[in-house]
Amino acid sequence: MKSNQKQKSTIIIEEPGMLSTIQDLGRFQYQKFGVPTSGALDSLAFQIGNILLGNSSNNPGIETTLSGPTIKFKSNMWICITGAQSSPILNEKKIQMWKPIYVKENSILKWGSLNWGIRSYILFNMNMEMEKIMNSYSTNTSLGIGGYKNGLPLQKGDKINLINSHNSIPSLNNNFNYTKHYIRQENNITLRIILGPHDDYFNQNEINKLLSSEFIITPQSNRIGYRLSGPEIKHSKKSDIISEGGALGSIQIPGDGQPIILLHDRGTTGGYPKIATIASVDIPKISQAKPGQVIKFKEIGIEESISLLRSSNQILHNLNSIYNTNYFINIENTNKIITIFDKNKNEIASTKKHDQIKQYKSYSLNAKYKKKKYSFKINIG
Amino acid sequence: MNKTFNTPKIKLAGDCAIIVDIGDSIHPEINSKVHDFCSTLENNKPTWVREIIPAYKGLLIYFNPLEIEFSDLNLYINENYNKISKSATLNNKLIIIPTYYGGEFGPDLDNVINHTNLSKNEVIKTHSSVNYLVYAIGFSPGFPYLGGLPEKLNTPRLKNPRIKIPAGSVAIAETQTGIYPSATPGGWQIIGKTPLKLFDHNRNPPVLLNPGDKIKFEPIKSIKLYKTLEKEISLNKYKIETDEI
Repeated sequence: MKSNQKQKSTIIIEEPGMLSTIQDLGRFQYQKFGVPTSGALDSLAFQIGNILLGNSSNNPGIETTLSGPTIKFKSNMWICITGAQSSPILNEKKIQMWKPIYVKENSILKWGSLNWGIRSYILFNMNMEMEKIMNSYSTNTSLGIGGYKNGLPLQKGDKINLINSHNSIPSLNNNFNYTKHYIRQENNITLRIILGPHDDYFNQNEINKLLSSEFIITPQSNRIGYRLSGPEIKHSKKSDIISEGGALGSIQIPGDGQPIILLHDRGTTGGYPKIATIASVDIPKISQAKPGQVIKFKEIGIEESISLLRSSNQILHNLNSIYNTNYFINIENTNKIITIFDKNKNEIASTKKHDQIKQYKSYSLNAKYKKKKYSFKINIG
Repeated sequence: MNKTFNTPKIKLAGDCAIIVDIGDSIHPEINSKVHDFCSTLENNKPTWVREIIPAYKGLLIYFNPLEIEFSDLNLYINENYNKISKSATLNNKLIIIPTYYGGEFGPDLDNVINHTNLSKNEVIKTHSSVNYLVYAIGFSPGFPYLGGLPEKLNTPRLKNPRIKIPAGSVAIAETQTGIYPSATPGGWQIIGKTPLKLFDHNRNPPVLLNPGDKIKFEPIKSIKLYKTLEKEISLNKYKIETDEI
């Protein structure tokens, strides 16, 4: 059985959507040269999608913005869509998010209504066959670095070549529950913050103003930063500092007193005072927020922030140990059987013979393997 | 003269980064110690230190808070601060930046002439007669924060920033001078252009200039000479010129 030979495939961008870019977790070790990290803004949704597919959590995928791209798949593969509730549609039928979906060749992915969030992630159980720039696939559109070509967002007609990276099948016990493990999908956003590094540029009144007021996300918000509009936060000293590095999630206050939250495409250094920094676990929340939405800030201590990060990390770690599989699948329409192999290519389960393997159906397989019982559920897209 | 702190000042920048300041002003002595501190830390870098970004008077250190307690992080910073070694990167080399001043490559040279009441030759001579220190790299890939612009060349920014400044442009804004490594929007007064590539991601390291480097501009006499240099650079046949300080 040829269950794990190297396999190549292509996906074609038929319509690009508003801003669809290739991202991984980011470009690290180059910030000292002035190169921003970039990377998936909602790294939680991005990593969960990869984990559900049995991928390494840094496997590149596509980040959508508001409207997703129309994609044609040139051969069979597994995909998983996470992040914003964007009603993905495969060949005219709605498919589930947060579940590995087996996509058959010549299928077309489109999108329905956007019900929450603005950035979805399309992940594949294959790697992308393109040049890494400074050790990352991430696209930085403002600097023209990385991605499919010269830092450009995906465009109509782009053909992305994929290559099988591991060939394992995702999620044998496919009961991932995003309401439990992902951020709460609500429209009232409270971002937890840690004061500093330059809170001493503001007196207590101004800090209280930041903590008690509502701010509106302006349309001038993007992957570099989110610009907010609200009461003016006044500096007690100067409104500039001697330029220095700025961390992810810094809330900087420029001269006009309107906060800017710095995100993944931010310049590596800057000269505005940063009154506070968003807790790492709340970066996905701001990444999914859209212009017009109202946000509030809540101060937490560094210990609490780290403990939240520890829990979030533990969840990813646990998911990884559940979903990182060593099983391979073979779906053959000609044989009309779905078979699962272990990494030594031993068959461990198969369905009974079907008249044909139909789209949009789930197939259940039960198997006993090394004295353990497994039930497999395969969703055919 | 003791411009640097006895112990570094550590400030939280969220839950995964800290700012470590060792002074509070822009000064070559402080900056030089920043870069020595940075390389001391880099040479003794535990797994939980992710990235270090040096700037004028301190460092931004990204770390993994799940692998290190704050008290140990403090200890690591302070211990290394006390054993800063003058790094091997200390160099007496001066990097020459060939630059064509004025004309189509320096559309704002006239603004600087008008503002400073100097002649064209005086502006060029003044700008190219001093050594500049690269305090830091940041803002955009390979952009050097330079110090040392002679005061009489200070010129305010343009009232209307340009949508695109060509890569290699040499410019002045207030008390600063700089070189744009890639085409970006900007409001600085462009006085010339160098054919050198300040940033190239195919090069290792991708930057031409490093913090702590000293540079000097050298006027290119004609457009023809500029084009010749440009060609040599694109063919990788150009060797960066240096001078002893």
